[in-house]
Amino acid sequence: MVSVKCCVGSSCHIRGGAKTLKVFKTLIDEHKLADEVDLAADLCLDNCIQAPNVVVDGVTYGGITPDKAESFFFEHILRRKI
Amino acid sequence: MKRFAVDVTSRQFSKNGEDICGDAIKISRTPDSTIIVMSDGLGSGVKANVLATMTVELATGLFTGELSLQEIVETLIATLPVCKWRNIAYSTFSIVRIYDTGHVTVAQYDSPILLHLRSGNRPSTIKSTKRTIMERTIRESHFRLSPNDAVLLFSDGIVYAGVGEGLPMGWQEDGILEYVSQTAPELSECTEIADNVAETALGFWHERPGDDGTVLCARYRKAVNATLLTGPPHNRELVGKMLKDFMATKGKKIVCGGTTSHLLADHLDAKLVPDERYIDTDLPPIARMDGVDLVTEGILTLSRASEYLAKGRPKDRIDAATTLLDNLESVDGITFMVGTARNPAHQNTGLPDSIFLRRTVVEKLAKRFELLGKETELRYY
Ligand code: FES
Repeated sequence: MVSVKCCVGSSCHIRGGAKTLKVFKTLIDEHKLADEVDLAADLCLDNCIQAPNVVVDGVTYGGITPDKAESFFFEHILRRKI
Repeated sequence: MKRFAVDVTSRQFSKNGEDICGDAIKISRTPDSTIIVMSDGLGSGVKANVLATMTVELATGLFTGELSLQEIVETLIATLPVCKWRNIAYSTFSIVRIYDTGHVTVAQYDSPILLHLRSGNRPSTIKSTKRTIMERTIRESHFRLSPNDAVLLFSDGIVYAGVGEGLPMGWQEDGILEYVSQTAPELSECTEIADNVAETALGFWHERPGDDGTVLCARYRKAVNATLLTGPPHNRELVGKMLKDFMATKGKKIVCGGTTSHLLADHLDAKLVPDERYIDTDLPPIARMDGVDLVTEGILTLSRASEYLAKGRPKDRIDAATTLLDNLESVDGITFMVGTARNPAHQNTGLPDSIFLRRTVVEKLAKRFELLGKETELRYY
């Protein structure tokens, strides 16, 4: 199980965090990964300066804007699963 | 913050054929009391309304000075226009001042009695003493309300309801007392009591009132307060103190801010869980945490709440800001605990810097709540 936290707090929200979260959700549904990826929102991941932030299994990745969300998902989330 | 509050509701009807009610009411609040002035203008329609309105405005205005109730009554009596013909004043008045301690002082000129409603007890009429001021008889009373007690005031149009419509003497004060005794114990809300008394009076008038009628109910109750915590303090060392102060407050507890909520979750060793149903791209979601009533994101949600207060909420929309307002609109007083740390990430977002000044955003929101009659207090950390 991969744990993914996606920030939708002030800084991340302004820079598209909620859209990034949405992209992840759609991909999880499309690839039927609900049992393998635990996706949760958060109100601040303590790295506002690099918003929007995503934390995968405890590792923080900054600057995951919606346009980068899909490639990030395959590279960092799916890869971990395998 | 005030520990007690007074809710006032009223119902009025106009004499049959008149568009405007000849009774007037004015409620005002001072730092330590609620003042209710009710007046019945002679006659009906516009003329009566002007006289009554003038009387309540004048009386209310006099309270802003440092005058005693007696001086206020003297000034009123001396100022009210008198019908030379009949030597009666053109308007009557009841002045009821309910202090936050529960003490009530009343001065009435030519007005029906007041009722004291107590939960679980039979209502009673309020005893008064007479005093002559400038040849006019003023009835004065002093009594005390316990929390949840209420005072019921009504005008002549209620007392004489039914005259000429089957009740030769009208409903009468005793009749109203009896009615309220039988119905009020089950009626919890003041609005309901005022509505029921007014409806019953209208029934006696067969919906064709022969006089203007007013019923007013004022309930004394414990105040409900809320504390809203937002933003980390400018000095990190103050975090512990700020959180402790927050948890020590009574009433509703609301946290607005991502970092702030994480700090509190750590402090309380509690879980912070964003509510999935609120996730959309328009506004960050709310979150749940044991020990507090509501958690939201900070700046964006507070600004939005302020905007909704000023311009109205969009219909059928539920988001973090409407939920925040639902929580705050029902309280009497709000303490804002504002941390003044600045978040460096807020620069270069393309949005004006002023949006991110937590202090400015909160002050604006507090002002808007004040306009709604709420007491507010701002504390900075
Ligand atoms: S708001 Fe996303 S990391 Fe702080």
